[in-house]
Amino acid sequence: MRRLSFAAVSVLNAIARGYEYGFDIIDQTGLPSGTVYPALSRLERDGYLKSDWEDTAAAHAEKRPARRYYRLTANGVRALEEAIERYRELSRRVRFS
Amino acid sequence: MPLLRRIALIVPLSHRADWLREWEAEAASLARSGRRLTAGRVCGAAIHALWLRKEEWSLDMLLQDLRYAFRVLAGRPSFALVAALTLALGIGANTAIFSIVYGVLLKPLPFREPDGLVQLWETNPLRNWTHATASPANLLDWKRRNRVFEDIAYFPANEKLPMQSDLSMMSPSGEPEPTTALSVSANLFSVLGVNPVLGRTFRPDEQIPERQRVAILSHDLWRTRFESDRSILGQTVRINMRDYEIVGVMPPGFAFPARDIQFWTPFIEMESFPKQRRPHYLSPIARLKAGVTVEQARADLAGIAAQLEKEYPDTNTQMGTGLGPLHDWVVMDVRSALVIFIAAVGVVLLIACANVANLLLARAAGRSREFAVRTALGAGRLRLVRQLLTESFLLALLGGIIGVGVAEWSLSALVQLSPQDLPRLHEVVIDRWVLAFMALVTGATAFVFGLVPAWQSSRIDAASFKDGARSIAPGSRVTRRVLVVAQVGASVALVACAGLLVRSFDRLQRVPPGVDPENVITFRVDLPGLKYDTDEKCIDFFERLSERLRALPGVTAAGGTSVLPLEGPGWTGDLFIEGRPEVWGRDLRHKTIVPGYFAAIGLPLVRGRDLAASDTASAPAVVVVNETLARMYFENADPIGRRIAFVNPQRNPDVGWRTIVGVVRDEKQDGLGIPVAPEVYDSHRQSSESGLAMAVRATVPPETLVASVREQVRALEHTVALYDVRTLEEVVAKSMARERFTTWLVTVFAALALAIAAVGVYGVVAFSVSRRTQEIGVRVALGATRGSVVRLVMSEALGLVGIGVVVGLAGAVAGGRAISTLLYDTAPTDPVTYLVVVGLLGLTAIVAGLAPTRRALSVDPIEALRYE
Repeated sequence: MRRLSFAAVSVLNAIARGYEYGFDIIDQTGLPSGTVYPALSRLERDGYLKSDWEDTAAAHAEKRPARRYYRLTANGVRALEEAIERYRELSRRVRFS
Repeated sequence: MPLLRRIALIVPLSHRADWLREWEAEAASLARSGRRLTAGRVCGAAIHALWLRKEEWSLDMLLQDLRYAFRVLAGRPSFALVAALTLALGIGANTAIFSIVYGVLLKPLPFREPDGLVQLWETNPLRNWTHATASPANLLDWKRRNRVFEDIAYFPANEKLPMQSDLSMMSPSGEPEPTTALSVSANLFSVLGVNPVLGRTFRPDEQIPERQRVAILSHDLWRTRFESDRSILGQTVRINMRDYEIVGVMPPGFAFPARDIQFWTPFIEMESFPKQRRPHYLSPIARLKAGVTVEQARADLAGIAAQLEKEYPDTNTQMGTGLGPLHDWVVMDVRSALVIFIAAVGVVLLIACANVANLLLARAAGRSREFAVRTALGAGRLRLVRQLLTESFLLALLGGIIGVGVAEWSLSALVQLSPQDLPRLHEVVIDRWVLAFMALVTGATAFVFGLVPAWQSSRIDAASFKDGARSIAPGSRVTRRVLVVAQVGASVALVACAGLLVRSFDRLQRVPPGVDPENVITFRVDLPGLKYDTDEKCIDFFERLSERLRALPGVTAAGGTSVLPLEGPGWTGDLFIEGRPEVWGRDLRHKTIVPGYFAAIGLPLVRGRDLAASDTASAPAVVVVNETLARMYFENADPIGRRIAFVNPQRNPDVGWRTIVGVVRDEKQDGLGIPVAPEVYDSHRQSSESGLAMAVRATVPPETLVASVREQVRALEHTVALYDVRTLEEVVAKSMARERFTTWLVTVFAALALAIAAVGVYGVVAFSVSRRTQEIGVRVALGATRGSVVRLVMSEALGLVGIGVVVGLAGAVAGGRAISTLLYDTAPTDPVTYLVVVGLLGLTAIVAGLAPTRRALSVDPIEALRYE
């Protein structure tokens, strides 16, 4: 499995925590839109994410167009866990060095 | 959000709807919460769009495009071959010419920090000197007084030509072999910053007379004559009967200042050297100190020249100095010709590109159904353009690969055919920079010829499905016509330039050289100074040689000269005329001759007598002058019997006056197109020389005399070799070598351009005929005559060429102006040339229209109507 960039992990992490559409993820991660959207497209291309369009009726009820929601795939969950573990390990090493 | 919709155009069609929906939804959500889409987020949208576009253009897709392009081209191999060959011609010719332009003009000189090297010269408005060689005393003063140069080196030269010596080097078998040497100041190599690959360079004390003679070999001579023997150092080689110790071997490719120099010796500074302020015969090269600019150096040198003018008014009145980058000095004669070559060959490539573009447009017409299907399946216009450009790149690549062969072949042909005095020709190679240029040209070519057809062909409309293979993209026919008109226009400009050069060359060839070059053989003999150490010995040798030559069967005259016609100036000096109240200081040319020379080269005596055997050192000093001198300084008066001197009689009371005994017709000196300068001829009996060129006139073909001439020289002196054995016709031809080469090359390019343009016209007219088959059939069925069908087709060919000629004439005038410096006695707007060009283009139109006309005439109206 390819090692994910920090930005990609941040995006995966945000989605895992329930921030599921583009601008929400941008607001949550603090990353620029020019980083988040290509990351979303790349993660979806590589099978870490899947996207679905929100139910139109539900969106219209809130008087807005339907959003595109992203969710983690099994690969995405695994990749996120591995990445978090890697960062924890890294953080331990930095602390004790 | 119109902005988002614009950005969406970047997104590939397959993602565009989703992308736009997502971003518009996000923007709407923001608006609902009272926020706006910031500039940062808009940039983010653009980055996302670009990322998606990049993703689509991935390597996989490129490979897919390439595979498809390869299949498409392989399906029509004849089309691919014709297009690739057309491009190969253009790319190959461009690469060959660029390699010459790069090697000669652009590549830095192969010396250490070449930008710091400058050439120095002297100027004098009184003598019309603009770039004269320096006198030794002046040069030594520059060396002592300057604050701007690290060092100044020099070698003897005559104007721009190094005064190299033609020497005889003894071969191991004892045969004399001709070789070329140049004596240089000991510091020349250090000033240039070039180290030998073997041994050392010269030491300053080796310029002192009577020291052991030393020599440095060129790499070529070391390799060919001494078989790259590394133990050569310390060995002696016998040159002109003198032993020289070899102290070094220069690196390969080092050939300074001329490529035929085979070895260098230290310039011996005789006792009189530092005092010589009158004779100018040194070519100085200096290295600027770090941080000093050319302008600062120029100012410093001018200051020294002003001091010297005050100190030595006799020799230095109005004597100025000049200075410029060494590189400019080396290439200044050829810059304009090379720029014209690269422009001409660039035009050929553009015409070739237009041709291939036309071919692609014609072919695209047959592929419109394919494009329509692909569009229906979801391919966007950019996707189609990309696919078509990939095909273009593949074609260009093929053209480039074949072009490498074309470049190599044409470069070797160009180097063979180019004038041998073209500077830096030995440095011309196809190296990485030339290959980089070639890659760039190939890539650019693909864009130039591919973009317009790709854009045109990707415009799909509903008709494409209905018409199938016979449909053509809208605007494509107009584009094809515009391309052909542009091709013809560019060809007209090039053909007109070639026409002007041909006319100019023809006129130059017709200029009488002043001599009769038919049936004359010439060669050069330089006597070894060690054996021929007195004037008498030299005089005796050349007298006896002339007698022997005259005695050969078939020989009618023989004589010698220090400089043959059209071989530039010999030595130059001042002229003073007895009895004139004012002092006449003028730049006068001198030639030393062996009596018999005038008859040998066919230079008629117009007044007085020839120099004779009786004009010895003990007899009164006499000279023969040329007509220009007589006309310039004696107007209508008879110069015979008048006395002239070469040093100022006011300052030298015991001046040697010389009596004019004859006037000969002018012989051309520097070139057929260059006016003759005043010249005097001294007899070698009164002004001896150890090296002369001999001329022998015969009633038999002169080439047949070479063996017997060589025998006569050997019989008198077995240690000397003959140099430059040529007929006088070859000497005259050599003087036009550059003009001949320029004319030949531009004419080849023009012919190539015209041929490609003719193919272009043919293509468009033939295509038009094929599309109008039914129309022609209907016309014939309705009673159209064969004449009217011919008119129909030919009017199209002539119309296209006619518009092209009108467009091209403006370019032709501009081209004519650009080459005006290369023209002799021919105006850049020469009407005859232009008339011939228009006629030639008319002929081209007719030739290009012939095959389509024949096809139109063979249209069977019944077949055509049935097809309809």
